This record gives sequence, C-alpha cells and structure tokens, in this order.
Amino acid sequence: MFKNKKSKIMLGLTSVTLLLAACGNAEEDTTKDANVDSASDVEEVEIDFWHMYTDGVMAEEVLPEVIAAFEDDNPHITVNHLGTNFFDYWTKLNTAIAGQVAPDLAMNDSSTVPARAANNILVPLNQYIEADDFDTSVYYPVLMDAMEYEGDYYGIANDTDVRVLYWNKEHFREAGLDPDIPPKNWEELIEFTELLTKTNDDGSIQQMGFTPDMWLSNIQVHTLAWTNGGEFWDEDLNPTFMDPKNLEAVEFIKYFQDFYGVEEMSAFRSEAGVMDHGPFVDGRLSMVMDVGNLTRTILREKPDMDYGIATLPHAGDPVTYSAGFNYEIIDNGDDAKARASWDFLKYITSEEVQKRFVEETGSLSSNRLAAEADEFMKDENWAAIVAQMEHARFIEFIPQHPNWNGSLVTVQEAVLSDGIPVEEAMLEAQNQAEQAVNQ
Amino acid sequence: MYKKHPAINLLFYVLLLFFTILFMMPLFWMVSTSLKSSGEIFSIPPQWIPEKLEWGNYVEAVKSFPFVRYAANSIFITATSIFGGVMSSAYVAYGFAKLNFPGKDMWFTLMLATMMVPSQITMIPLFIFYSRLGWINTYYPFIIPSFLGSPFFIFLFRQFYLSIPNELSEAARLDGASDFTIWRKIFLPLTKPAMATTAIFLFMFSWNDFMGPLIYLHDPKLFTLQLGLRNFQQQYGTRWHVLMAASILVAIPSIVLFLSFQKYFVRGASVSGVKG
Repeated sequence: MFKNKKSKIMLGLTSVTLLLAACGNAEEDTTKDANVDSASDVEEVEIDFWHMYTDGVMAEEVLPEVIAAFEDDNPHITVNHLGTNFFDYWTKLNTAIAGQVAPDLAMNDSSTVPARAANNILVPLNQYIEADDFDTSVYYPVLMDAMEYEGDYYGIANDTDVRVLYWNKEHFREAGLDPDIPPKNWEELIEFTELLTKTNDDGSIQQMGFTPDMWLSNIQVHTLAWTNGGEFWDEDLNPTFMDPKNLEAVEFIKYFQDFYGVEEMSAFRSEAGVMDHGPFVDGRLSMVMDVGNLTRTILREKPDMDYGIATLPHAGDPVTYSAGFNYEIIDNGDDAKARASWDFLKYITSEEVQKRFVEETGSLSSNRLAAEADEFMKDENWAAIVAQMEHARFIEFIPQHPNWNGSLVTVQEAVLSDGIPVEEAMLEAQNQAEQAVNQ
Repeated sequence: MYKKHPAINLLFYVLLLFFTILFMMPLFWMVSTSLKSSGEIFSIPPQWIPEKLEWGNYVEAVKSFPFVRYAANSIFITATSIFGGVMSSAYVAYGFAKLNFPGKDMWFTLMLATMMVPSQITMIPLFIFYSRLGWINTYYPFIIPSFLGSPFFIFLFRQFYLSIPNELSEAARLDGASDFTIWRKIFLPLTKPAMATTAIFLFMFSWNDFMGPLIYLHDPKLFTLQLGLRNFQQQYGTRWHVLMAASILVAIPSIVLFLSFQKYFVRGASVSGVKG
C-alpha cells in the first residue's frame, strides 16, 4: 500500500516539475534569433524599451502606433516596450540594472543623468551624434546641458516642466484688482493675497489668495530662493545654504502660515485633499505656483475658467525650476542593440513624434520645433509656458549629495511644524551638505 | 451555572455590533466607490450610497488590462506557492519537532533568526542571485523558494507537532513505516488546522504580492493581477472608481477562502499562538 502511495507522490512531484518547466521564460517562445536578413544584409535586432505610460491613450494608442511606424521604417528592428507605473518605475528599473537584466532603452529622470553616467550605466551618445550628424540644437539647451557628463551626452530629453504662476482673473475682478496684471514680486504677491483672501464667520478660509505650501502648490524652497536671488551652491560647488536670500525664502513660506493661522491652514489642506481637482481649479485658491500640466486639468475640468499664466514673482532675474524625463541607452554590452536603441531614440524625440506627445499629454516637449509649433503657440497659455524655457534651470547635480533639495523639505517642515527658527533649521541642512561634500 | 446579567449581554452585543460596523466601513466604502461615477467619489458631504449604480465600472476594470490572463497567472503562482510552502514547511517542521540530530536547537534558532532580516535588505542580493540563475522574467523566483520551506510556517507546524504524542510515531515505526510515511500518514492528517492556516497565509502573501512580480517579471504576458491594479494609479491622477471595482474583483477569492476555512484558521491561530 505504501508503495502505491509512493508512486502517487512521485507522480505528483513529476507533475510539479513539469509545471515549473512550463512556467519558464515566456520570452523564449517569442524572441527572434539575431540573424542576417538575406534581402538587405541588415542584422535583425530586438530591443527592450521601458517607459512610464501605463494607462490611457498614450499607453494604448499613441506609443504602440509610434513603435509600429518606427518598425515599418526600420524592419530590422523590433521594439518591445513595457510601461510601468510612475510610482514603481524606478524600483523596477534600478533592480534590473543591478541584476544586469536592464532594458536597452529606458525613460529616466533628467536631473540625475550624470549620476548614472558616472557609474558607467549608460552608453555615451556622442559617437552616434557625430556619426549621424545629429542636430542637438533642436532641443532646449538647458535640457541638453542636463544630459551632459564630462563632455559626452548620455541621453536625450523627452519632456520637461516649468513652474509658473497661475491666477484666477475672476477672483481678481471681485477683489478690485486688474485681471490682466499678475503680481511681479513678493511684495505684490503678499499685497494681492491679502485682498483676495476671504474668511468665513468662524475664521475658516473660504478663499485663499496664495500659498507656497507644498501640499497646496507645486513649488519648492530652492525655487523660491532662486526667485529671490539666492543660491545653494557657489561656482566651486561648495554649499551656500545660509545665503540670507535662502533664509528669506523660508521666512516667506512661514509668513503665509502665520497670515492664515496654523489651524486654518491645516483645515484648508484637509479640505483640499478631497477637492476634485485641487483648490485652484476648484476656485478656492486665487493664485498658485504649479507646472504647465495644470492647463490640461483646467481644460478638461473647467474649460471656461478665466485665468492667466505668468513668470514666478521674483526679486532679481526671472527664473523657474525645470525637471522632466529623458531617454537613455543602458550599457548592456551589445553594440547592435545600442545602435538600434539610438535609432529609436532619435525617432521618439523627433519633431513628428513629439508633436503627437504634446497633443496627447500636454507636457512641454524637449524638442523646440514641436513645442513651438504654430498650432500650439496659438494658445496664449501654452506660449506663456514655453516662454519660461528662456530662464529655466535644473537643480545642481552634486555627486556626493544628489538629493540636496530634499533636505530643504526637512527645513521647511522643521520651521512650519516644529517651530524651529529658520537659521537653525537651515544650518542643519548646510552642515549636512558640507559633510556630504567633504566625505 | 453563572449567567451574565442581560444588561451586560446587551452591552456586549452593542459593542460587537459597533466594532463590526466600524471594521466593515472601509469595505463598504470600497464597494460604494466602485459603483460611483468619477464626479461622486470626492463629493462633500461624502455619499455612501451612489445616486446611480455604475456597474459599467466593473466592465471598464476588466477591460482595462488583460484581466483573465493576469488572473490565471496569479492563480498559477499562488497555487504552486501554497502547495510548495505547506508541504515543505510541514516536512521540515517534522524534523525539528520529532527527530534528533546534532545542533538541532542551534539550527532552529538560526532559522528563526532569518525571520528578523527585513525583506528590503535581501531584495537586491536575491534579485542579483536569481538574475545569475537566469530566473528573471520567469515564475521560478516565486515558486522554487516556496519549496524550500518558510521559517514562520516551519515554526507554526513545529508547535503543532510538539503537541502530538511520540507514541503515535513510535507505533508506526514498529510497523515499519519510514519517517516520511509517518509524517505523511500520521502527522499531516492531524494538523489540518495548521495546514489551513499556512495555506491562507501563503495565499494572502502570494495573491497580494506586488513587489515580487514588479521586479521579476518583464513580459506583460506573465503579469499578475496586482500589477494590473497598480496601472490605474498614475502620476497625474487615479481612476479611483475603476480601481475600486477591479480591487473588489481581485479581493473576492481572499474573502471566499477566508470564510470557507475560517474554522480551521481560528483553531490554527489559537493553537499556535499566531495572530491572523
């Protein structure tokens, strides 16, 4: 009897083994062997391309069509694309790079290209740029600069964003302000805020004029400091966090919390958390600093909204913070795949494709020919956003302290939540930066 | 026999009812959201019952990604992980509970110590290890390790086995049964609650596992339901109503399984001292 049962167990284990064999790499069934096309003598190449489009028209229509069009023009190249959610993308990509199973071409954060270039993760592009006489001047210079490391380019930007001031013209009229004249500096911003703010009988905020609060706007300490003429790094990349202009930026943020009151701000934040499209679009905030994509939300949710877009109020030269995503070729040690990736990279950042991306996403294209195309520039709000590229800048890349701007969030929270004096909180960030740089 | 005062009983039931409603509220909100239009989700005051039931959200949820394929993949991974995890953990636990070998306690302590290492610490080294084995973009990282036992479940089974008298195994041994036979014919049938508890835990872990499929699977044909669900969350917005509809569909097997095995699960948890 035991023998009989043993046979059954063996049969079961064999079945499990067969099941395991069945769950092997699905790619094995579909991967084409690299071979030589007898007709054209061109080597067939299959490349993996990872991006962040996982839902909606971009994922379901635009990108597959773009890839199909590219494959039609380049029959020897097959592009396998995979979209991963924005929130999980870097976990997947970074583990794949660590395990040496990374895709050939990947979308990534434009601000940190030098870090990956310095770690020999990426393929330098100058060899291809020179061989193809590829014109890099069609891309915004600030974006190409972000792609550079030790004289070589390591990526081509796809899109970017810039911070601008949005103002609700209807609110301006109600407050007796000229709806066509936004605040130009911090003094006017404060003055306008006082006129635009309305409170209920119980002291709660009915309509907020403006706030640089990080939960209610898309503005960071470093950007505000820049608009005030402050800098966090000198020319030799030594930290200058204690620059008085930087301290004034944090004081400026604190001013608004004091103006509204801690409890009232907190209540308004909670309310904003359940607003359909954020306090500005929902008409509860008169002025907001945000990225260009907010125009898309307004167009979709409040197409009749009367609003304007202006440069961030500033003390010195106008300036705005730019960030975004780029495409880069990962060094997997396969020249044929790297070359094919370059061909696709050129295509996906071309004027033709980028125009489609702009139409669909509303994101500011890295390609000036696409971003500044007549059909888009007719929209004065779009033109106002594009104009910001003239004074857009990225955060400084500090290899020893790549997330230095993150320490400013801690400063902001320490001042606003814990009541720590601005100088003391900023000194802590300065010390951290010095330690990082001196390591 | 001591009888509780009716007022105390009443209070007891009122409290039970209150906490039942409290704990059911998130689930109810999830169901409610899954049947709302996008405009109703964040309405103030909150709307518990949608004005119009949007059953189309469920259709949209199923159509938004290859639901059936992802479900089949999830079922395959989960079923094999449960089989492997229950059998291997139970067998290893038998060794720790009933066999004598040099350094037994030391090995058991060492095994328990591995539970203290957070999974975040081992994620990258394991990924590199599996990558070198050529297991990326396969189901091997989910299945093979489950056949090597899990410290938590080995501990759970061991607690059960320790409560079974040695006389049973000794009698079987006198009849010529091997250790494997004793384990399979005597110990396994006596530890159904532990098996049910382990199976439910493994089901929850495997069915809801997101990080594993995220990093190990690159081919959409191999994706699981949890990866499909995550696609609803985007940088600039989330289709909450569709996400909730899809989440309910994905949660149904967990709820059904728990309700079906509730008796075993509660017994297993109480005997082993493990909280569910």
